[in-house]
Amino acid sequence: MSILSYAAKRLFVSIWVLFGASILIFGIVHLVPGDPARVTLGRFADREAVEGVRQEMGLNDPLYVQYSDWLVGTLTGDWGNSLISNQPVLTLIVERFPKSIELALFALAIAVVISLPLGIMGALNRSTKTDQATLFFSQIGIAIPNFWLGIMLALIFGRYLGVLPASGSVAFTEDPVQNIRHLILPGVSLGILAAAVLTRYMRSEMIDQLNKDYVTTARAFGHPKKRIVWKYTLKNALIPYVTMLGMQFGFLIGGVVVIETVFAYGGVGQLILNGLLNRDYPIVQMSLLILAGTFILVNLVVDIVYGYLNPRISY
Amino acid sequence: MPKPNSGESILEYDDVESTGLTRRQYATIVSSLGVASLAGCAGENGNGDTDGNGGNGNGTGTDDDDGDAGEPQDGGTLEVALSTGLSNLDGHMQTAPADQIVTYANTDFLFRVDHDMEVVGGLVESVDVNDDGTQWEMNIHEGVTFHPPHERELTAEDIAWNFDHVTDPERFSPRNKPWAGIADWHAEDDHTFVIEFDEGQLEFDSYMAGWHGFPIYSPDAIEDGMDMQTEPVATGPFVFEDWVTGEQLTLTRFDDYWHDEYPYVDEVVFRPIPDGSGRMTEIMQGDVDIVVDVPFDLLSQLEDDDATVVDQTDSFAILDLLINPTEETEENRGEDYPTTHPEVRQAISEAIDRNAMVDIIYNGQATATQNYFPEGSPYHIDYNPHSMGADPDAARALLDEAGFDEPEVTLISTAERDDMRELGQITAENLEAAGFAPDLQEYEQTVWSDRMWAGEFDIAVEDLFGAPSLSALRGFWRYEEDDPPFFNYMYEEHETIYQMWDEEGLTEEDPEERLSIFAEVQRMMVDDPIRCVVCHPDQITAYNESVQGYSTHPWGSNLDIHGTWLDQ
Repeated sequence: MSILSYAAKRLFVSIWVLFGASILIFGIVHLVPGDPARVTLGRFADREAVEGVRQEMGLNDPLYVQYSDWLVGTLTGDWGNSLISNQPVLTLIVERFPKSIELALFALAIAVVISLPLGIMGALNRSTKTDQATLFFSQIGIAIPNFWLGIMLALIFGRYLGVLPASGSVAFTEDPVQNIRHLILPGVSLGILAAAVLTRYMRSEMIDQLNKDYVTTARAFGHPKKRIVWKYTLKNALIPYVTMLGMQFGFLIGGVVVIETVFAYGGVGQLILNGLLNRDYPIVQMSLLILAGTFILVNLVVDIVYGYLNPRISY
Repeated sequence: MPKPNSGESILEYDDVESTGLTRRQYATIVSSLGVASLAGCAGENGNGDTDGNGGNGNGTGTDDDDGDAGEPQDGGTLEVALSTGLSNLDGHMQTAPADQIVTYANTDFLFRVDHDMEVVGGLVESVDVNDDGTQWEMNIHEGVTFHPPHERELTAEDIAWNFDHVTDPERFSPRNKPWAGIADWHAEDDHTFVIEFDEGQLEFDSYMAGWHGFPIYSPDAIEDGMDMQTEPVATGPFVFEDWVTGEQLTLTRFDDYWHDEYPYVDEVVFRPIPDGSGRMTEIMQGDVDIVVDVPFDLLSQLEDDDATVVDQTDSFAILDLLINPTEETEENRGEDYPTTHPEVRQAISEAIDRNAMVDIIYNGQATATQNYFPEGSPYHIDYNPHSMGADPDAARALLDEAGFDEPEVTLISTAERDDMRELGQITAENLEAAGFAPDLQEYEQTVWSDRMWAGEFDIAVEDLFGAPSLSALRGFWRYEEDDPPFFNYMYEEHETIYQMWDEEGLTEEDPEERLSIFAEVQRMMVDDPIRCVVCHPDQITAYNESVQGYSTHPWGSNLDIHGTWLDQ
């Protein structure tokens, strides 16, 4: 099977997965108790008004009708309006989604920059203090909740040292320097967990590769250590690392919901959180569907890239 | 607070200013002369000051506390940190306080409440009320213009249009309901707007100032298809410029604003920063100028920060326990509906420790009370018949009297907000100590609200915005068939209270006598606490020392930046 037909097959499967995700998202969002009509009108609204708004919002239609309306709207580009602010969902998501992707990518970059050297150092200095320090970092990184880390970083670097902004975001096109400055604290808060996970993974993969027969053979042939590490083992260790990277990116996309709230970062995460609190169905459904779609797409790309990285895999 | 007597025209603010007295001093003199006034009705600057200089961080936020701030300066950008995101900019439709803060800066209200908790004019310059209070003739300011792109002078016809718009049954405006009783409205001429009532309404101004006022929008803009929820066009001191949802909303100075002196700042930027610690960081770093909703538990962090001013004032806000007196719902109720008995309701009021609640929930930054109006309000009565600390013995005695032994009561609360969660937890402990068997249920705010609306509770923790008068509070005590069960307070004193409230109070021409009737109504409401008031939390804002002409308003959603300027 050629890589093209493999990609087409995976894409076809991905569409079905996304369809399944849409049913799941719709079902869960509508199962959560809470009436968006009452959120809109406030808790002192009378029955008549609440019923009227429910009717206007289409919430009195059977669920399958509401689902099919949403699905058709999604496919035809009519994503509807927010039930609370009446703003077009499409505009809101287009405004915010790139920011979340930017934050997640920045966090991923931080994770890679930290995890690659740490993982390699740990593996090369196994059972030494350097290795223990690497393991300690990854343990701590996994154990610390990222929202707590975010608050601490904001206090230290934002309030006490005053060197970095503790909230908000600036578009890259508006001011690249401010854009990066606003990304650092949320990016680090978000990226540390991924860095910790990836460090452990990199370390164990490197150790695994260093214990392989081909490394023993290379040593026996007198290849220099540098070449063995950088040319042979690292290349092989990177293959599963890249897969893990794709998965971590998916998790980072999910993690922005909390971090964006801590840093008042105006991305899709805050949109989802506010949408959930207000039972703003169109916003939540569409945002979650797009996050699910992104996750599926990233995994699809990783799978395809994996084939390139590992010549032993044939499609 | 003097209110308009029937047949008398209210005074204009300019008259007050020319005396050189503060409005309160003037109002007292006027009142003693028997000339009722709605003092400060027009032309007052936004922060309630007579000279435009504002409170300047004196920590009290009243009109008499002007700081020595110097001459106001034009220009600059005022950055305001909000505690929640914005969702709806249409003042006729919104319910969230953050949205109302923007509306207060962007629109003009017909009436509003000043820093002394008095109802004053907004767009309304003066009012003539007929003999029996069934007709209010409002004289509207001249020279008021709408924002671009629909600049033209506001007329009384526009106000009538806004009334039509809000009461349009297909719009379901939350502002619609309290107006039952209005027979008609019309524009008499370009600057005279008339409202007629079925029965006398001598406190209609407070009704219109209540629940954050009644903003006026451009009919032209709405008829052109502009959505006030997302791009409001009104007459206020600041024009809507841009809204990047979740990030910031920008208003710019309206150069043609009808008030000659203000606004002063060129631009106001509202930024939602949900995390309380984040808001503190931003103000301490000088990245924002004003912080709304200073978290009570983080207040001490600002103590050593010389560049930040903490401004605190009494507020209308009420924290209370809503007690279900009906048997209309069976779901989630205690056996035999204990809270339908007045003695049980009184026992709840005796059982709770209001003083401890204030200390724990608000770090002491609130006033424990059983009254609906804070000290400073003319409606305030100092009537606290039940214990302010917990009195479990008195509570047990009342339970015995009602024939209950360890009655089960469901107590619903929301964990989404710290104050509500803590109130629920302390109440549950207090009730248990007093012989109740409370079942504390913590919900997400939306679900808590749903349960409350459906009447599925015995006791619900609750907060209210409060109101400038008892009439304005009447909206929370109405009884109509379409209302949710928790509105339907059919209890022993119901008929008497409503009769005194509506038939006697609202038509009483003598302001003193009217206040006396309303005081009696309140005493009855406190005696049988359907809403068991716990405290009035203080209103606190923090601002940068460069901010001048600003002081905290008793209503959190009235961020009074009309006359605020930046010392650059």
